[in-house]
Amino acid sequence: MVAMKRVVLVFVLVAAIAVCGVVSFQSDELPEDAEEWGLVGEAPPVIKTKVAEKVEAEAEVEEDYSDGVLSKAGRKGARAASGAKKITFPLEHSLGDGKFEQIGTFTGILRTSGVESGNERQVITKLRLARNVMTTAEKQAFENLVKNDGFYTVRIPANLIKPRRKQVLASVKARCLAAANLKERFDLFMEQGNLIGVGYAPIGDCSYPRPQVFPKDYAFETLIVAKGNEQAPRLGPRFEEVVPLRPGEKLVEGEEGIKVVVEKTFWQKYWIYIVPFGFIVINALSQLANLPEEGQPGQGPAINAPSQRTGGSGGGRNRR
Amino acid sequence: MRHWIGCFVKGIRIFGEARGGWMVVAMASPRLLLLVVAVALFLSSPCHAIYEDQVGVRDWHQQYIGRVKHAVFQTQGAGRKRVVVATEENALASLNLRTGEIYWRHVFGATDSIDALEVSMGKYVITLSKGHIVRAWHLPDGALLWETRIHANLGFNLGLVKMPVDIDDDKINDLLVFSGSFLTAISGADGTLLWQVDAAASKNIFIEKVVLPTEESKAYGVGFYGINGLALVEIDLKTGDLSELKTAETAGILSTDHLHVTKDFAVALHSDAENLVVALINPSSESLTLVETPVRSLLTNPGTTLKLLSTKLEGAISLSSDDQTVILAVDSSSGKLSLVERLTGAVTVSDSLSVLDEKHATAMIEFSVEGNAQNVFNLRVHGTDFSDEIQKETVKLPSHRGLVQKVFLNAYVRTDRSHGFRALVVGEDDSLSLLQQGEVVWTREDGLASIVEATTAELPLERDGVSVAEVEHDLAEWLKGHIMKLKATLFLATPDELAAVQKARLNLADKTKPTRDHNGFRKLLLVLTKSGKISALHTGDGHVVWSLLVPSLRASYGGPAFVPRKLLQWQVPHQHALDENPVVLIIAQADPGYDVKSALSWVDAHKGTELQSVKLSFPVMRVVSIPLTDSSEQRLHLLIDNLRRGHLFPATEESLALFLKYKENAYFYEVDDADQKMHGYGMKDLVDPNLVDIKEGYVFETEKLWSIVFPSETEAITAVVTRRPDEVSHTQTKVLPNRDVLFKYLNKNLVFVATVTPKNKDVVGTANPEDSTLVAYLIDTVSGRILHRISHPNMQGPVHAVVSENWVVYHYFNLRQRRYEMSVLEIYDQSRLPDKGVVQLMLGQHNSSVPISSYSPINLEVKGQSYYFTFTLKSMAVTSTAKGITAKQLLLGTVTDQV
Repeated sequence: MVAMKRVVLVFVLVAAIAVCGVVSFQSDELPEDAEEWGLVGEAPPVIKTKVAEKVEAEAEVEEDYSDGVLSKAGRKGARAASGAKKITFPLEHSLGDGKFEQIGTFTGILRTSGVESGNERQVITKLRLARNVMTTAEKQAFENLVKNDGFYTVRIPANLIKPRRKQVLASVKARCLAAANLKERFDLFMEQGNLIGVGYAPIGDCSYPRPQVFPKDYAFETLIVAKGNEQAPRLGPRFEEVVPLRPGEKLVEGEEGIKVVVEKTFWQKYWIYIVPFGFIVINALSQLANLPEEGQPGQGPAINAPSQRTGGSGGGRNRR
Repeated sequence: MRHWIGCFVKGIRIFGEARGGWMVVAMASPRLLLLVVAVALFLSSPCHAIYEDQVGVRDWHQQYIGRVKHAVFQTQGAGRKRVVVATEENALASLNLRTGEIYWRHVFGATDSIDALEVSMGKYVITLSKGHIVRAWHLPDGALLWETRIHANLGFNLGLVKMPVDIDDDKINDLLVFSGSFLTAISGADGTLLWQVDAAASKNIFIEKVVLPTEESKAYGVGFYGINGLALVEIDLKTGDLSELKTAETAGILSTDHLHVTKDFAVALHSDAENLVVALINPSSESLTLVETPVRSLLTNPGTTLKLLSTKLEGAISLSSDDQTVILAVDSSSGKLSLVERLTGAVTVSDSLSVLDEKHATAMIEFSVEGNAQNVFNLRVHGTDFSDEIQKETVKLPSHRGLVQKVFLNAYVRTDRSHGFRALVVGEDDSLSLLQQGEVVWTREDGLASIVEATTAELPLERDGVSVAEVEHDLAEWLKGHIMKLKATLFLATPDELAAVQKARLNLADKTKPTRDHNGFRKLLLVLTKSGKISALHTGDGHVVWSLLVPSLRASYGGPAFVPRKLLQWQVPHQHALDENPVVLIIAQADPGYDVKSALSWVDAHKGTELQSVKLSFPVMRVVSIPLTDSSEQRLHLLIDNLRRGHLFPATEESLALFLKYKENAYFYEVDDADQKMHGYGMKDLVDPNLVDIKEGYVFETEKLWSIVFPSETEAITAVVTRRPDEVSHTQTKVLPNRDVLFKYLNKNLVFVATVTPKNKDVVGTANPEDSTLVAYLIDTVSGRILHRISHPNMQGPVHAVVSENWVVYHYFNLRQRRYEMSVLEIYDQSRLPDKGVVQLMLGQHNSSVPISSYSPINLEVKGQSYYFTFTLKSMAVTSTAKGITAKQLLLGTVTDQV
């Protein structure tokens, strides 16, 4: 009995060691699996990076806004050498009469990347606006606009790098701007150094009816947000029929695009664990094989038992 | 710019929910036309709804071909009599000559116009498209037999000639195609190229016409020689060898608009319309002989706009000037011209029809009397030299067919062995009618193939005591009807009687009643066609209730012709539904070069009569429907002219007073396709009414409020889609499974714009996935704010889209995966998130009665998803219901004309 217990104990121990080995292995593999499963329900990683980029852009601009209107020429000079360049473009406004005058200057950093690979991308960051002080006549015109509930219109060139004839326009009710105490917000939709549209709005609600208030001091507070680089997630390749996959192959979307990866078989993956486990088992079995010499006497009654039974049955027959 | 062609009208009925139902009538076309008009009302009894198993069952289906430009009769032999026609909507069809039914029909692409049509060997239909594609079709079933592409000079005279020779010895005569300078012989059996010569390269002649003389295996090519001469070249049909050029010159400059060529002579007109030049074709002489005749010696009053008509006449020419048509006979030996006939008014002359050995017949249709309901025409058929009149008939056509525009003549042998003639005529409304023995045998409403715009109108209410659906008028008719029904049940009825019984049953059926039903399922479908005709179709079975060739849009002598552009709901009576009829407004644009730039016409939608019309001195660029109606329920409309001034209609004091209050909220936008820009405008001050013609509406100045500039190197606008202005949303929220609430961003001024990479916009197959991108925008048209911008790399148009409530669905092509995809964007308003509970929704800060301002700050969440979609689309629409409760369904019209 003791020997049996021992055998069981050894087996449990060995099994426990083996299971522990597998568990530790699984913990290595899990993150990859989890990511794979995560993909099914979640957006592909492409969009994640885009969102991150967008947030970054916004954060940068916000920071600029907070530290006021100041140009750090020294730092920018250093940047220009590494594919970044300072650009300026005008902001023009119209006070309801259809004539446009320059009222401020936008500055920003133009970063150019991928010139060597022919896939040139231009991104404008660190946008800030320096507004000119409004003249008395302009202030008067603005107050007239507030009285008449007219539109205050701003104009920015469509090509930010080399400003040309094409202009992007946006308007806001002058009353809204005055009610928000001249806190304004520019949403610039840009693509490769081109300005597509500008969302110009006061910071604050402006529902009808709009109260007639005049701004106290003509100090504009500006918030600039760059937008428009969102890319649609690409459809998963699970419907891909162009390249029929052989069993064991799967598609992996990496940084270089989609590629076919041949999945390893069970044996290829786990031989490194199975082989030592096999050795351990064989060792344990060979040890077990050496044990029976000790337990030889215990086998006596076991051998005798069949003869007893035979006798018993013979007795049975005899009785018949 | 955008033109709509409808080649058939389809009706589809789709089931409704148990409480309410809706019905959809959709019309589709080869190009683009799926207009959905779906209306539903709450019902009291569910038995009127359509059951689920009736989904997709087609109510009616009509096929049209468009305005016929070429027709070839096939009446020889024992087979079925038919006429093969090619139309301006690029359709080729074989029609039953007895009934006008379509045996088969093919609709070609939008740019694949049919230039010439021939029937060869009695069983092949040969077509020439754009001068360089020759196709052969099997006449009995319309199967394509072969197609050959040949070299061609585009923009020159084109033609297809059946040659009397068989070059490749396959027992089938071959074909000759001429287009500009290229002459090409192709096999009549399989379209193999036999020979091709470039006449401009070898003989310096651009061939205008090719004629076949009586002698074998030879043809003459005639063209202009410089600006003041004519040239002739002899073509050997077997080899394509060209003889030396025969030329002759005149003193004046010739008009190159048209050259009339027959096998004996060619006639051209001087560009100053003073002299006619006849060139005699004489094979034995070395050069061409020119005979000049001053027009004034033939006509006492030639008029100011003399021109040669392109009618193919034998031994004669036809000229038109001002409102007269002149036929001059040409003496083929001396080249002398003599006046045969001078016809005033609207006259149409057919091509000469070769009847029996060297004999020809020509038909003329003259407009004689204008009737109230019917116009009377004289059809005359003349013999070879126009001196004798073989046949004369008087034909009556309904007045909504207008004048006869084209006539094709066909001869047949009467029972008494004499020759009879029938004529296929094209009306002013693009309809096609067959005239024989002074009767209209059949008529096809082929104007319905080119629908410009469509809308719906309610049917009249059923008034007490007047049952419009009553069909039996007296006892005799009632008895007759019952006897016929009895015969039908006992299988004794003839097919005609069966049809009559069927028709009577249909008339009794609810579906086809000409009155309004309880649920508003039955409607009038008003369609405006390219020819300026408005027709009302019944949605039950698609029959034409009334038609009107709008009088004020017809071309008049000395005035411009109008091209219909828009059809708008002008007056929809709700309060006065019993005593007032709905009215629609037609906006048409005048031909350039006149003081009148556009016209408005108001048409009664029940009676089909024109109530009023105005000619405007400004072109109407766009129309803004104002959501206001005056006391007589006429909707206010702002017509924007080319100077971007708004003209307010109806031009009454009352509507002005209404509009002045609304002015602050009136905005409009325009899309500049050429410059890839969008501009938004707001209203400014009223121009002093004393300074403008009040008939042209009250005038308002506008100001530009915003501009969006798409980078023209990388983006070109391909689709601009808005919500239906009358769309109703039932709920402003969407409840998620976890009981969270999302607020829909319901903005009436939302517009969806899609741009694609410009160099890949139109050409199929040249695009590289790497440099193709589709960008989708959501734009608020009041503030010009871009609400969302998302780019789809490797995608390409064409883009079809639908905007409804707070979502957009768009369909495009994925170049990398080589298949179509669809994307959906849903827009939710995040700024209202605090009001999540039901109580807050009703009473909170942002309850449904709070107006939404485009100038308020927005915080939107746009959710997007894409799907693969294997079908190629032609059109896309969404169903809409009266209260917006029923779930929306997308209707997709595929290229295979399925919905």
